[in-house]
Parts: sequence; structure tokens; C-alpha cells
Amino acid sequence: MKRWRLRGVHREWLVGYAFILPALGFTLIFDYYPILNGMKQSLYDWNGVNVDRFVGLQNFRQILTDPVFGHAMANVLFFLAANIVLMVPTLTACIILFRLRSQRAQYIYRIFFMIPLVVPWVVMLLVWEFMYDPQFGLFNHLLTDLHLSAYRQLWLASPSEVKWCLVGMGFPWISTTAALIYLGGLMSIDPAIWEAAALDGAGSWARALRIEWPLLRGQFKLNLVGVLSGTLTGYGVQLLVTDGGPGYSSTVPGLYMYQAAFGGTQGNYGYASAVGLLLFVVAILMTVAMMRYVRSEA
Amino acid sequence: MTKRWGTLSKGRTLALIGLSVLMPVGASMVGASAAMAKTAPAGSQAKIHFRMMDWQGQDLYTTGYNNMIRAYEKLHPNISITQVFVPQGTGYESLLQTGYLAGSAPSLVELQQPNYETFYNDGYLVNLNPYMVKPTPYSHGTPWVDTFIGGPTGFQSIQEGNSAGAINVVPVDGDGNGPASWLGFYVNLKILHKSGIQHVPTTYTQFIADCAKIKKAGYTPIVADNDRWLAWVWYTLGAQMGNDYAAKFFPKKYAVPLLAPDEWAVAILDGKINAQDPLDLSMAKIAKSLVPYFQPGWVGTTINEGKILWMAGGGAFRMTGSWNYGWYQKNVKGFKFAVLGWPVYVVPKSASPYADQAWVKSGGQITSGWSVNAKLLKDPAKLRAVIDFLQYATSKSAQRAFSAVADSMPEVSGVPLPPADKPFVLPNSADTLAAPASTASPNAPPLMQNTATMAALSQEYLNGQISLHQFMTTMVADDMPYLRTEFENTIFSPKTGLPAQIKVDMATLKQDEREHAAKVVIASAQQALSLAQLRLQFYDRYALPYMKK
Repeated sequence: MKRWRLRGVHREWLVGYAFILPALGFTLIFDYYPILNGMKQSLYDWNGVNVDRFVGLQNFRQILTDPVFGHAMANVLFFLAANIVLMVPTLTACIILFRLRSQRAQYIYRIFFMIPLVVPWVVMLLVWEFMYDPQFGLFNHLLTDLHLSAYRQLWLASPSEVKWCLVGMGFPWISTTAALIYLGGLMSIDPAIWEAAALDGAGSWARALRIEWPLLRGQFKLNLVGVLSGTLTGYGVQLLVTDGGPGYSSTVPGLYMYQAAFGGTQGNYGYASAVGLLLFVVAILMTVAMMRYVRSEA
Repeated sequence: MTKRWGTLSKGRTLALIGLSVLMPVGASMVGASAAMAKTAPAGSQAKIHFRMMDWQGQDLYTTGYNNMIRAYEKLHPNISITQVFVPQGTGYESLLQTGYLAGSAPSLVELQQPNYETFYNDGYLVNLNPYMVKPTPYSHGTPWVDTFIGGPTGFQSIQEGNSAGAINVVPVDGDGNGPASWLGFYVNLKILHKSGIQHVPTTYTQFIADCAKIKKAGYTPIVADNDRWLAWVWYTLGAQMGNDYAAKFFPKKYAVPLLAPDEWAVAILDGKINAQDPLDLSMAKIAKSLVPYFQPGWVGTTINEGKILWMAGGGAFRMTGSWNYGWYQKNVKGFKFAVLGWPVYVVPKSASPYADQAWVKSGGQITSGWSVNAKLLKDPAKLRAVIDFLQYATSKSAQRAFSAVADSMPEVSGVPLPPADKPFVLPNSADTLAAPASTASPNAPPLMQNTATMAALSQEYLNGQISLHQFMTTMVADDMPYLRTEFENTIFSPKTGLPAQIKVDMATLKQDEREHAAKVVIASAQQALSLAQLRLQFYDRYALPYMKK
């Protein structure tokens, strides 16, 4: 009898495993295999087709001595700092939204948050790119119309302005996904806490700093990991808008990796894999460090 | 027709003196003949569908191709064709690279130099030599290759781009084959007139003087962009300066045009061409002298933005890389325009002592066309259909119809040139300027070996972010690891290295001799083997010592 039951239990497990097997299989094939293969290829001179020669750590040595990679790292740190600072507007907006007493106002506010989500990201970038155009763009036209022609800028074409322009593209820097996470967190807070705070006479700032912020720390950490990994490994904005230029002024390591693979006439996939692996390690290390720091402050 | 100058490779455009063109055709006939033999007989009625992909989105070209496809489908009701348009600048090459790797690339793809070289050498394209030497169903007994303007000579640089001497593209839509000038400079006449200029410049000196006048009048002389324009500037300087410059560093026995790219590279690796190289310095200075005539913010201007800016009257001259005159005629509003043709950009000796005062003999060299996916070698019926379509597309009647609709330069002999294309054609008198076919131009500053960094580095230098000295030293620094890797692969790669190539050439020769192949085929195989051996000897002697350092 006992044996039968055990068999039944095993059968249940098998059914359970069978259900997760497809997801597990696809994760292994499409996530882990490319990562492991990328690790292997980072040690090769590999053009993706017929050149596949073991070169040891040569790719890594070349990356670390390439001034362009150093430049790209400096650029990405700039974007990382900017993106971390620019997490504040979303957090603030969510707290304000949550405090709105009018259900109707809350509804409108939420709609306002969600609309950007349905506008394709690429369209937004292209609109911004057009607004920055030195000849036709909105900003220089506005400056001219306001009799401020002397202040017309080259915007994306200026090596000193390009990074700021790219950061500015996110204005007003409200991330819809992050906002949903924050709002979820705020809604899960026990109403008794607000009542207690009100009884204690806590003002707006006190509520924000002593209740809302500490209780949203978990959500903040989650978004922070997204910002960290997204910024360190991402390059979509730079690829679409500036292609890393002028020169290398807005090149980031992800774009450097992409250009190594697809930028020349012959793909250098081994080298690109090595860049990708380095980025992966840097992103992991920074994420772990950041998580530990945020937790220790709790 | 749009050309992407940014992808021009070095030393591929010159004729290979001493080698007959038909020889390499014959040499690789043997290897490819097996594939040809497997193709389905003409007239097969099995349903066949294939895709063809190109970057031609202009309405006139689209109409021309649509007409051609529909006419062909009418002739062959069992065949249907879908044309896929992928604009350039949106990852055309990357899409193909992944498509070929995944086995999902279209049957026919329009490619330009050096992509057809890369993809052929990677094994993705069909060697068309066996088809080229035979008449087509539409050529009335003339071998296919002889129906094109320039005949076999036009395919010379294509054949030099791969070790098999294979023809791997078929030009259909106004590649600039024949005596084309390659210079698609469009000129806004309204700006010229407002600047007090009543003529279209015809020489480099006049062009520069006119730019100065236009700028003084408050207009932008040149609408530049940060990609194709830059590549064009380097290409056009490299094509008319420094012929045979690299060959002087090595013994005469290596002065073979096919070795020219190797000579440039080895000369850089061993320091003969370095950051103080006078030819590179000269080219860099001339390029920089043009910058004051570009529009403000040019370095942030993409190809398409440059086009829009010029169309909106934002500057006088615009190199579009296109001779699609008909499209401009239809779409330019608000001003009259002209085409600035040959020989504006022949750099005079007064601009540089390295000026050849000649344009390389590029006329007749095909640099783009349709390539057939090698995957079709496993599907003989489809391969036959695709080849037949290409043969139809390059028949006199199809070319006449296409040229008339698309205002494109015909690719085959005996088809009249549309009047709109005449300004783009190099006059016969210009032939006297052409350098001898035996010489080799660098086609870019010699130090610009690493094409992956070319655009960004050029932007930094021309935009004043780095000095001329930094530009030169960075190019050298970029070249070293790149060239070492290239050389290591050339010498040591078990699949693509020269020793492997020599083995293949030897086997081909033995097979030809065993099978009592035609004399021309055997001679060609011997020639290919000798060249590969000479190249290996060159690398052993001049590259290997520096790679061991």
C-alpha cells in the first residue's frame, strides 16, 4: 500500500516536471546555451562561418587595451548615473498619484501614465531625433522664434552635448513599467499604517521619507536592477539615434559589441562575444554590489 | 540605384594584367559544373516560387522590377516571384548574414561590393561561371557574359574578389557598368545662381572656388552626412592618389595587382607605412579642407537626413551615391537642379604631389548585382528557374523595358541609354585620364584598413575632436590587431588559409589534367595555383617575421 502511494506521489512529481519541462528546455536552449556558447567563443577568433581559431585570452587583452572600450565604459557610467537619478521622477509621480483622493483624478493620472506604453519606442526616439535636428528641429526653430538664435545648438551633432541630449530624450522620465511596480507596492501597504501616521500628525515629507520610501524599497531595488542591467548592456537608443557618434562620443559597450559583430565587412563574433561576457560580468558585479548596499541601508 | 560607398574595399577595382578574364571563368567552371548538371531541364512545369530581396525602394525601380517580374511570370505560369524590399541603413547586411546562417535567406539577393565577396567566400553564393560562358535562351547564341556592356572585362574585379575567380553577381539595374562616372553629385542651381555662379563646375579647382563663393553668399555649399559621404570622400581620394604606392616597398616580382591589398597591409604591419605616411597625410588634409563647406551639424546628419536637407534647399551640392535621376526629377520641388559629372574630382598636383591626375579605370567594372543563394544547389528545379529569370532580366528586351521605366543605365549591349542618365556617363575623352589597368590604387587612405572603425574615426578627425596626428596614430593602432588577425587567418586558418587554398588549387589542377580539360581551363588552374603560391611566399617572407615580434 505504502509502495503504491509512493508510486502515486512519484507520478504526481513526474506530471509536474512534465509541465515545466518545455519551459525549462526552452530556457536552457535559448538562454543558457547561447550564454555558454558565447563564453566559449570569446576565446576564439570566430567570424561566424569558416574562421574559428582558438586564441585564448587575446580578445580580452585587446578589449582592455582598446581606448574606445574605455571611452565606451566612461559613457555608460554617465548614462547609468543619469538613469539612476532619473528614477526619482517616476517614484515621485507614483506617490503623488497614490495620494490623490479623487478616484476620477487617479484614473486620469493612470491613463496619462499608460499612454506612452502604447506608443512604439522607436517612434518616440525618431520624433526626438527630429526635434534635435540642427536645421529642421523643433528646438532650434523655437530658439529662432524666441529671438534666441545665438543659442541654437548642434544637439546630437555636438560631441559635448550628445550624451545630455540622449538623456533628455526620456523627458519627463516616467517609466510606465516602473510606475506599475511602484503603484502595486503602494496599494499593498496596510491602510492601518496611513491611519496611524495621520493620528501621529505626520506631514507630507515625513510620510514620503518615513513610510512610503522605506516600504517601497523592495520595488525600488527591483527597478534598480532593471536600470542597471538595461543601461550597462543596452545600446538601442545609441544605435538608432547616433550610431555612437559623433565619433565615439555616445558609444557604449553594448554598441561597441554590436559594431564588432556587425560593423565591419567581416563579423568579428569572437571578439563581440568577449565584450558581451565582460559586460555580463560587470553587470552582475554591479548589481550584486548595489543590492547589498541598498539592503544594508534598510 | 543606390550604391553604398561605405562598403568599398581596397584594391578590388583594378584589372588584373596578364590574366585573361576568361581564364578564371574557365578555372572555376570545373568546380561548379557539377551543380549545373543537376539543374532541372528547361520547361519543367512544376510550381516554383522564390523570393528576391533588394534595397531598391524608389518607385521607378519598383515599377520597373514589377513589370519585369509580371512579364516573366506570364511567360512561365508555373513560376511566381515575390520581391522583398529592405531599405539600406536598416541592417540589410546583418539581416542577410543571419538569413544565410539560418538557411532562410531569399533565393536571389542584390548585393554590392564587398558583400558579395564576403558571402561568396563564406560559401553562401552560387558560382555563376558555368552559366556565363554559355548562351542563354534569350541571347540568340551569344554567351551570357558577352551580352553585358564591357563583356567579361566588366566582371574582372568581381572575379578578383574570390579565390575561385567566380562571377557571383549579375547586374540588372544600372550598376554603373560601362563608362559610368560613379559620381552622383546633384546641384541646386537656385543656390548657385543666388551665389552669382552661372555655370556647373567641371574641375576640382572650379568646384572648390564655387564652394567658397556659395559660402560667402550665406548658403551651405555641400550637404554632407556622417556615413556615405565620408566613405565617398575617402574612396574618391584613394582612387586617384597613390597608384602603385605600396608596390614600391617590395621586389618587382610581387607587383601583381591581385597582391596590392596584401602589400598595403604588410607595409603597414612592418612600419613602412606609418603614422607619418605622406600619402595618408595628404589625403587627410585634402578631406579636412572640404569640411568648412559642410552644413553645421553635418556629423550628426544621417544619409537620409542629408537627402532631405538637400531636397529642402538646404545646400548646393549633394553626393547621394545615386544616379536615379528620374526619381529626383519627379520629387525635387522649388528649384532646378543639375548633375555635376566627371571630372570634377580629379585632384590636381597643386592639391597633392601624390595626385595621379587620373581616375582609375573603373568604367566597366561591375560592383553590384543579383546573387543566387547556394542553398539552391540542393534544389535544381528552383536553381534553374532563378538562373533563367536572371537571364531573362538581362535580355535586351527586358533591359530596354526596365531602363525606359526606371531611367536606369542598361547593363547589356545594344540597349539605348535613357537621356536622363547621360550626365552620369563618363565621356570618351575622360578615358585618356584613366590610369593604366596594371596599377593599383588604395581606394582609401592606406592606413584605413579596419573598416569597422572608419566612420567614427573619420567623424572625430574631420569634426575637430582629434588632431591629424591623433587620427593617424589611432588608425595605426586600430590596424595592428586587425591586420595580425587577418594575417593569422590568411596563413594559418585550416579552412580559409593560403595553404588550404593551395591544396584545393592543386587538386583542381590535377582533376583538370586527369579529365583532359580544355587548355584554357588547365592554364587558368595553373595560374590560380601560381598566384596562391606567390601570395603565400609573400606572406612567409614579409608578414611572418613581423607577426612573430
